[in-house]
Amino acid sequence: MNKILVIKNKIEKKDNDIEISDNKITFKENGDYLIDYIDCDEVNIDIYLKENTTIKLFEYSNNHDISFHNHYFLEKNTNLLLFKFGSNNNTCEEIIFDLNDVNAKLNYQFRSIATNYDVHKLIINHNSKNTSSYIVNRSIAKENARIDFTVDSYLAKNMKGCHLDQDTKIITLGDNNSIIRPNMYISEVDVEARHASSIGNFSYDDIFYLMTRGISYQQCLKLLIKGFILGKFIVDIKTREKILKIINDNWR
Amino acid sequence: MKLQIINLNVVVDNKEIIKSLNLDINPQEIHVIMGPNGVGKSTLSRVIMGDPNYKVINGDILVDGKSILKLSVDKRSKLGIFLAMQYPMEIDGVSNQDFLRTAISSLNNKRVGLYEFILDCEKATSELKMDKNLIHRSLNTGFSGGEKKKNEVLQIKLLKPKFIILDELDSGLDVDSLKIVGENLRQYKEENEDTSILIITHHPKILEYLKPDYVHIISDGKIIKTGSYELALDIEKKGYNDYLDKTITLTKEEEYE
Repeated sequence: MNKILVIKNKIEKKDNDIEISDNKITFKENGDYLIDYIDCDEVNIDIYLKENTTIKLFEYSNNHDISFHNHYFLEKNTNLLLFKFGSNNNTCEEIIFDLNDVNAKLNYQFRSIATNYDVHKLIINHNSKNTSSYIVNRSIAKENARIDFTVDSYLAKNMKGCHLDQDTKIITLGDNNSIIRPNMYISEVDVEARHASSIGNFSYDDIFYLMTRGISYQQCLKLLIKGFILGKFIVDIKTREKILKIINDNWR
Repeated sequence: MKLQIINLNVVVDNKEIIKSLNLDINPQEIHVIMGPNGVGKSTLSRVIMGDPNYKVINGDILVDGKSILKLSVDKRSKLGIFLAMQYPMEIDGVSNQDFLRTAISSLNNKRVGLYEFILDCEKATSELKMDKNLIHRSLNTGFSGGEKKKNEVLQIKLLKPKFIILDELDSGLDVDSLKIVGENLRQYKEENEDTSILIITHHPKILEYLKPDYVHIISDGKIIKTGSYELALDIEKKGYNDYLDKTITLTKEEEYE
């Protein structure tokens, strides 16, 4: 896997098959990439996928306070699988996806552990026919943490044959309120759209089942958190170990 | 392990489900609870396991002479009590392997080695004729009814409990799967003869593999009749009505007297 380091908000490392100018990354060839955000507090990156590319992109951030303003541009016949994990003190982000041409496909898998206050705004613009977006957010709010999600999917008239999918779940482990706003602004009838949102704690029956096998409540919680964050989240071993360490440090 | 249920009354959602129930199960013994739907059979299994939604308002449950009412669910499991559930939970994201290793490590108070775990798992899954890939999948997620029940028996084989409650383990099993599950449980009992078993069932077929010492009929939250294996066969033939009607008649006679 090719690794791209973003240190103190600047892109520090590049590979031959990607083009970087200022804070713009252009992927021209198929491949797997990891963007590691280190000591960042304000990230503003434009990411382009050239025609006919399939990119599996992993993003990892574990910082103090951070704001993201990343913008992704998907051209014709592109496929972006974006696996993103964040556990920052405070996060404020506005992420824009522009699906600009036919057969642009986005699969966004986001996982986070919020320790204080996280605000996420995602904007998905279906700017062409036959584009599809599949947005999955899975976040855990620690004791006093709050999470605020707004997911806006836009589909203009005449953009036929599109597929829009949003699925956001927040597990709250404390008393603070969290919010999900799943919005779909659809002006075309030829569309397949689905959304699901839920906020709550882990299922009592799941915890009971695990405890009947001798697993303590705290261990059950850790097992469920691991499953919630890492289930269906395909990352390399090193990133997985880093995420596991964050879970183990938070829930001993 | 000796389990004693003494004069137990249990309330769920402000409704009394178990009423002055008494039952002694000694080490090595196999007991069967039968009865129509909704009379408190599954409630009994949940209350033994310590589900906090089931409130004990009177009586006690003793294990080897000591009350377990104040013990949490996991502590009861650590004593050796195991509840094989009628509807095992599907937990997406938690791998069967991770779950089993955590449970074994927790019960043994030490981290189980991966190699040792894999060997034990392979042996057990092979004996249960289970697809080996089920161990890597999310716990019970997308498993068929039969696979879920086999997964419960796999847990018994790996966790090695001393007191097993089988809550309608035989429901939803086809003939072949029932045979495999029954033979595995019989083998477990032979290898761990001190283990006692409480079987909750509607059908005596499973009892061909696990010959019971006692069969109890439960109705309206209490045991109304205790007998031998033949009682289960009689219920299979005639149903519960005879026994339930007799109880009502007896009550009327008592009132008359």
